[in-house]
Amino acid sequence: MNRPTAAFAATCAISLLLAASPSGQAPAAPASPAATDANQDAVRTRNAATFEAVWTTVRDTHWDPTLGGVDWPAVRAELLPRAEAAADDAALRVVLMDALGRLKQSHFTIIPGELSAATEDEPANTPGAANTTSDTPASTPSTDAPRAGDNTPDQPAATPAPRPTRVAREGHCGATVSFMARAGATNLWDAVVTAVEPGSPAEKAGISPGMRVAAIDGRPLGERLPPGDGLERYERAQVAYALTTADPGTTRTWRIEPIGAEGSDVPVTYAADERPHSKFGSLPSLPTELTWRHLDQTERERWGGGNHEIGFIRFNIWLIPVARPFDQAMDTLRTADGIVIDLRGNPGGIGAMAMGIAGHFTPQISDLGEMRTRDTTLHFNTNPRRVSTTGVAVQPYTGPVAILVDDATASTSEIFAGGMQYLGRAKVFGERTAGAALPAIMLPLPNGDVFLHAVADYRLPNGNALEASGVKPDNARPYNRADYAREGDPALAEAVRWIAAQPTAVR
Amino acid sequence: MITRTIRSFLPVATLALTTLAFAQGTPAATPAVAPATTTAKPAVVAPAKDAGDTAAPAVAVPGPAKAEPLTAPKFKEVKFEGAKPTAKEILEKHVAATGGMKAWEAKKSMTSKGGLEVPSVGLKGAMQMQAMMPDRVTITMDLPGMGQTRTGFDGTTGWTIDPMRGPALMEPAELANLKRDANFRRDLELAAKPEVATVAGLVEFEGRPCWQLTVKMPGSEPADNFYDQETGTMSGMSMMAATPMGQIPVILVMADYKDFGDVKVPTKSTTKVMGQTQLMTVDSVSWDPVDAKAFDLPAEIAALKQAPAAPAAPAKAIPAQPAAPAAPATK
Repeated sequence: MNRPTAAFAATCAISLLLAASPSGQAPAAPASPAATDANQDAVRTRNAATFEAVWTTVRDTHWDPTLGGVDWPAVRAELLPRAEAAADDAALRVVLMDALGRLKQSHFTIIPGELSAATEDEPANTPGAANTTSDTPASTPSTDAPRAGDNTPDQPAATPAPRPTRVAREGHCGATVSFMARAGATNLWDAVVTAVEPGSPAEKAGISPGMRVAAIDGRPLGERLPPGDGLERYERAQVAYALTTADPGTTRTWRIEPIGAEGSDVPVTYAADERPHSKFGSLPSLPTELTWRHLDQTERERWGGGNHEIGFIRFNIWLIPVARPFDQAMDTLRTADGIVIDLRGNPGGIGAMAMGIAGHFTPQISDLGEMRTRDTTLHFNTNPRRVSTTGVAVQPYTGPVAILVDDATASTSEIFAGGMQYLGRAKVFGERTAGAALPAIMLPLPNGDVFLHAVADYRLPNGNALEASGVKPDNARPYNRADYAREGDPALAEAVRWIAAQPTAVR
Repeated sequence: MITRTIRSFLPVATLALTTLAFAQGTPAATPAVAPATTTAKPAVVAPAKDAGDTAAPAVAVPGPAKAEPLTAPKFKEVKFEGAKPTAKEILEKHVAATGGMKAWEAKKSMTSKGGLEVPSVGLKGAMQMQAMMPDRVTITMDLPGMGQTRTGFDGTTGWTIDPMRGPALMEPAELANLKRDANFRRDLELAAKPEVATVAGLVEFEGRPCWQLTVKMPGSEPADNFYDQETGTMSGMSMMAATPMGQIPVILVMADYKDFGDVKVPTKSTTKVMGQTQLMTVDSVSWDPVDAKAFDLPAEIAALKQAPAAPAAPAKAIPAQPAAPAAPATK
């Protein structure tokens, strides 16, 4: 894909799959009144235990004991009764997210247990693949998939544990859409196509960068989105991403408007995402892909790259399966005149990987930034990569590095991009990043869900936070529709021009 | 001691697991969990009417918290009667409780196999350690989804190879720790040099009264060892562990001592670090000789040692990019 369209994979996969879960469950068998009462009591008890686990964890592990001034006891007093009364896990999650939302910070979320336990890499056409399918109705007890709360005396097993859920791969149209503020309007955005994957359904439908998507299936876009310039940007990016995904085979009508031309309706049929998936611990199974190449002559000529050898590496998530391929790419690209790393749409992943990847570009141990918990400060120190994958001694790459970002570039991607930019080892091109960069860990909850929660603040070595602020790109101005229409990929174009302007004796 | 040796390695692995920096979205951005939007797709194609009304508050980001000075945790004191035992007495009781020095001195090599689990991350895998006196060790950890992580010390060079950071030679602080802990009899040999330990007192450690010994070995940071008052066995330790990211407070709890040959080894260990718990189990221990080649440096580490020295630090600033072509606004 032109741009890593697994952007927000975690968020969106969770949201979309969860949304479909109820419809995939068989209706529960009628229960006797007594059984229902007992079940309700057990649910109530477990809901309370789950809420308390979340509430206590935030109280005890948030790096800022004051929680930024949030009256946390008052949150508990207000929401615990609602949590206890929640009819099911979905309703409980609403309450939990309400509580966590008071913090107004990224990396506080609930991963539904059925996604956390999902099996890996299911085929695209999983039977009944309406996002999520389960072989076992939720009302049927199951013993083959113990959940976190099982076998714990004070946590009644009222709601049976679901079996691992098969995760259907979402469909994608191959276009990337971003919301751009509408000139002269307040809180109105234009949905603009910023990338189109060659051969994708979007391209076949005649969609190209720079076009405005006025409506999908007759519904206008760009209104009533969350205003603001902090984490709200990331929220808008999530909405934009959702526009480009649907069940494989779904056809939607996009109303597209080229610059200076009349709009037209085009049908777009979403195709299955065939990328390999990987699973890391309690995280859901997620698409994981790295591609790399040299920019070809056509690209170089189009964007002013001349005869320079320019490497291009793109990966969509920071999970282990991309680490070795990145190293292998560097084995070849080590002699390039410049390297472009495309992190657009990359939502992050394993933070420690930033130290290894950055080590390819830092001859000495260098500090990308620091995470600060209540009692510990740790530095993201790069590991200078002085050996190739074939066991040959080498030097880290010292040539020009350009990193491409957008408002869906988040978390570990921001730690990497912000640190590289701070160190002077990279120029950053594109749109300001998401500003969602807090180191987090996971906690199994009594109801079987997993609580992802930030435990540390994160700052660049100069003390600047990435949370809410994001990484500001080095391009002189934000790109507009005309930039996309003219250059196709203005961030890459600018990166190429910058690399071409650097001294070539870098090998 | 096996778990003691592996302990040097765990914080490194834990860092990777601890720093899961994953943008799952902000709390306000998970509309699908709301009952009104359980059919999420229509909702995101045309955001619900209230979507823009509910997410307006300005983002409040607290300033950097002031970190407390790095110190090992404090433990609750336990009152006791009679004279406080000496460090030598405590250490000798531990040696006796685990088989006696004569039995231990006969152990020149070991191979231990077991499991490692990080429940909070949902990771569970296998771990193996090979060691040879006086200070050779290799440890291999395999975790599905994370791959294989290896570390070792050949008497001179300490190294790690992990899928996240790549191959690396240990920096001095880490190396000092590993060099110290590579000797799997180190805790027992303390009995022969009790002058490096002082008895801090009787404290509650994991619910049991334990003697706390502060051990300061030359060239390494002090650590606190805890010995069960009743059984005499070592119950755990508390220390600041050196990692590539800095120092981390670590608590190691040892339990379930079992016989392997004529000595006892703890088979369950819990490492508490950075708010997470790691469980380590020992399934088997062999004292059979280990081929010395097992401690040879891996090829990539050998190459790393031969790599030329790093050049000077890169310039802080790099040249500015050329101006982009003029782009007319279209909106």
